[in-house]
Amino acid sequence: MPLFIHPSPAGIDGPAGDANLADHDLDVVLSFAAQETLAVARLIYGGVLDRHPDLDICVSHGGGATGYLVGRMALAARKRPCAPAALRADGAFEERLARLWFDNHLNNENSLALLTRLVGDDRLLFGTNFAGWDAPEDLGSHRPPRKLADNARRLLRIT
Amino acid sequence: MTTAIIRNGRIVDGTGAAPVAGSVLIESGTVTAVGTEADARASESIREIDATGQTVMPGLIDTHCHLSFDDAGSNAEIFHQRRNALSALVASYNARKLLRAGVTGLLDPDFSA
Repeated sequence: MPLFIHPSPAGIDGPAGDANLADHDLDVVLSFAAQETLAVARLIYGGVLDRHPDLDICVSHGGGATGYLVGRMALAARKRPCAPAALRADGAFEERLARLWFDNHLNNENSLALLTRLVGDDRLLFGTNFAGWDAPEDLGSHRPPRKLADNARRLLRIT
Repeated sequence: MTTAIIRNGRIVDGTGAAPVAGSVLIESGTVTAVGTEADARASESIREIDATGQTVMPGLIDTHCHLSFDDAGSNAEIFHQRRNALSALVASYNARKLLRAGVTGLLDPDFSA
């Protein structure tokens, strides 16, 4: 059973959200990406993937801003004193990053191309945000690579 | 496990090939033959499904769905304030909608199927 990580806006039972995110739907538009990127960082820096090597985790919205920040996160893993020893080797951060799964719901072809170039396409999945506000209106224009279907079958153990 | 033949459908095989008309044979839950071979191998007593005017294709997998979402008044409503019973009703409606669109596998942060 894969774990699907998806953010939510600040709730009525939790701490108040950042006032800077209170209008223009910024809690959804920007904060979601921040939370997804934070999840990726904590899963890797925190050693979750090392402790649970068989755990399949899919991060929504293509991992948020992960594609844009992977270089900075990887550099910190190699150089900063607080980084765990297991992440110091060249490529150690990227190797773990490539063990996460990402949907392709980034709303922009160039953003998706960047993510794919940086983490590969072995764990990229077709996802639409069905019933959400930004689900594609015209799926006829979507022609996802066949490999995404193979990836989804692998993740969901569909033979 | 299902054993049946689907006849008269428009077959889309998912490879990008053009659709073809014909039959699909399913034996013990697995597609085992397509086209004239399917017709030839099907036993006379096999369960038949008439797909005239319909499309036969592999199930789609959508890895980012929100079955319980609809046109709510606010994000807080759909994420935090909605009652379970309404979520269940909306999810039931959306699940049928997805199934009719050909989606048979999905990931949803609130549900898994």
